[in-house]
Amino acid sequence: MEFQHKTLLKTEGLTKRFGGLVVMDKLDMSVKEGEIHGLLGPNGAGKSTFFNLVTGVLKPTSGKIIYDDVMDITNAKPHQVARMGIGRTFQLNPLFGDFTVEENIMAAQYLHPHSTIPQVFLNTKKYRDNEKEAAKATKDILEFLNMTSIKDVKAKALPHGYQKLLGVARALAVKPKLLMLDEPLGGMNPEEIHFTLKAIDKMNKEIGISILIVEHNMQVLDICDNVTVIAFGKKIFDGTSDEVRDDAEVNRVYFGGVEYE
Amino acid sequence: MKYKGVKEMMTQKKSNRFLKLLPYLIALAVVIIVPNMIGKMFWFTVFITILAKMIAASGLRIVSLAGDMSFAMGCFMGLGAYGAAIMVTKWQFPAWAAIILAAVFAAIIAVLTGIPFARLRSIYYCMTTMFLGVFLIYVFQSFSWSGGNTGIKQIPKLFGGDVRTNLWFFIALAVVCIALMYRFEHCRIGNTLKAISQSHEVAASMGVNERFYRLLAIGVAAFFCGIAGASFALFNGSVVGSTYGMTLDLWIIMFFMVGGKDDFFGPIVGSLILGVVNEGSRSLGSYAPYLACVVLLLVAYLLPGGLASIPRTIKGLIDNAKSKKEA
Ligand SMILES: Nc1ncnc2c1ncn2[C@@H]1O[C@H](COP(=O)(O)OP(=O)(O)OP(=O)(O)O)[C@@H](O)[C@H]1O
Ligand SMILES: [Mg+2]
Repeated sequence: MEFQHKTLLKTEGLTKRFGGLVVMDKLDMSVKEGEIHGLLGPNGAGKSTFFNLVTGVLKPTSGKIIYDDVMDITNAKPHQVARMGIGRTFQLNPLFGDFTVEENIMAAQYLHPHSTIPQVFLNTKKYRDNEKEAAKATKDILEFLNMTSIKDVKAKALPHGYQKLLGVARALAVKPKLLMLDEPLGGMNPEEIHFTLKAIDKMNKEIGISILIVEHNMQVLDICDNVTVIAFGKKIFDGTSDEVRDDAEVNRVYFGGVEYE
Repeated sequence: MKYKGVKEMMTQKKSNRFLKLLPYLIALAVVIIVPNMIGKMFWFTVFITILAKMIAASGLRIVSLAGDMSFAMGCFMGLGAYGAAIMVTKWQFPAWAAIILAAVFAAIIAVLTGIPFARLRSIYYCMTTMFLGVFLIYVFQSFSWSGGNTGIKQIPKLFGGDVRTNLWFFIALAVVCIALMYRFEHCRIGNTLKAISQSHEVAASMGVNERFYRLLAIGVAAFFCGIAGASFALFNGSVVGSTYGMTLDLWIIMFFMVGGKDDFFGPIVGSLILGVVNEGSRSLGSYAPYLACVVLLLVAYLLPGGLASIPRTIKGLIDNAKSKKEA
């Protein structure tokens, strides 16, 4: 895919305080269109807070969030942010537990309802066509993530690793331009990690979704183009994934001085 | 990635406490109720009352889809009742127009009063509905144009007060309302509400405007409660504010819980059975409500899913027995 490499997401002086606690400190960060961008940092660095600020779950104390070069989404609500094309998963990965895998993904399709409430209620042709499209898209996602065989299993009955993958599937179903994944590999076994990383890479290369990924597992560096490292809400590193492996400061803060590999 | 144990993931264990007791429960119900039921005109009125509350209990289900519980269903019935009574007596509206307009009035008031509260969830939201239920009826009781404490009397009755025709009308009304609510629940709208109740943050991250959908649910529920209240007021010929207080709310919630909060038909089964049990045990005098309470406790203990979950429970037991045999 060809991109002009414009900036898809940019924050300027993003700051968040909880009472006296500064969790995010004047963070300038940008994610370019078409890249896989890693957001790393030790526990409590503010990575999930960053996600919540961008997606409108939390209001910034100060600073700006710009989406797609021109749109100011600093004060947008979560559902508005989602409609603009930002999909996300959650670290604790809440799901629609009583829905099956298929229903979870289907529900996520409702983001793009092209029919109005009366059309839905009256079951018009337009609505039925929409539902068919949604079912088709759901099927594609199930196939893409190799989940077809478990589509009728209730989400709450799934093992942890599959639930994480379902979170990714659901976020993918909102047809995002930017997909934000908060520790998608947590709780997965090596085989599942390998599969998920490959799937994320495919989403980026084949579907053309830009990805911002938070992860403690350093295997993500294999698929990341650029990486930002934060600690205590401050940026301590910005660069390519090859550079991050060699950066002394990152090694000191993040890996406690132990050389990575 | 290979998925192992898909079959195991899909089976769930069910309890069988209730099956042992079921025959005794049915026998008890029959012994108490049937003698009361035979050859009495008053049963027509009872069923009309039950049908009106059944519509309200199904309305409560719509609110519950989004994960809320409301103590304002009775109050919305009251809004419909007062609205229709005033339209018919003061403005000489035809009955059908009064019923529909009163229901719309109930829905509008429900949404307007819901706007400041729709931010709240679960128990906090529930408490505000309790306040709302008491307050709105208090308003009607305070003004002379709505009859004050004594309410509105001498409303021209539906179908000239013929009880038999009225029963048929209420049956038809309940069927239509419930069919509409069934459609509401079983399309994208209902699914979205169910999604919100399971995780509002995930729903929002998918672009669902939670506030809008919860207000929509409240409005639709209030509309049907309004229909039920308005129709009942016109059948009854009078409206008294105190009828629509907390006691009515508690009954509606009991119908809803006993019938089963997880099934569309729960509130319908619940209002039929609990309603009949309550009226059928009138011979017990002031002890009658206790029988309903006993039913409530038994169901809560033996059948957490409510009466409507009986077929599911039986199916689960059979499946369990089958898989045991196979093993
Ligand atoms: N609602 C809140 N109120 C007060 N403090 C908060 C709140 N949410 C987060 N914090 C604090 O903000 C800091 C950053 O938290 P955050 O969850 O963003 O870290 P993280 O980088 O995602 O860490 P982890 O890798 O453990 O997920 C932590 O010190 C946390 O205690
Ligand atoms: Mg986190």
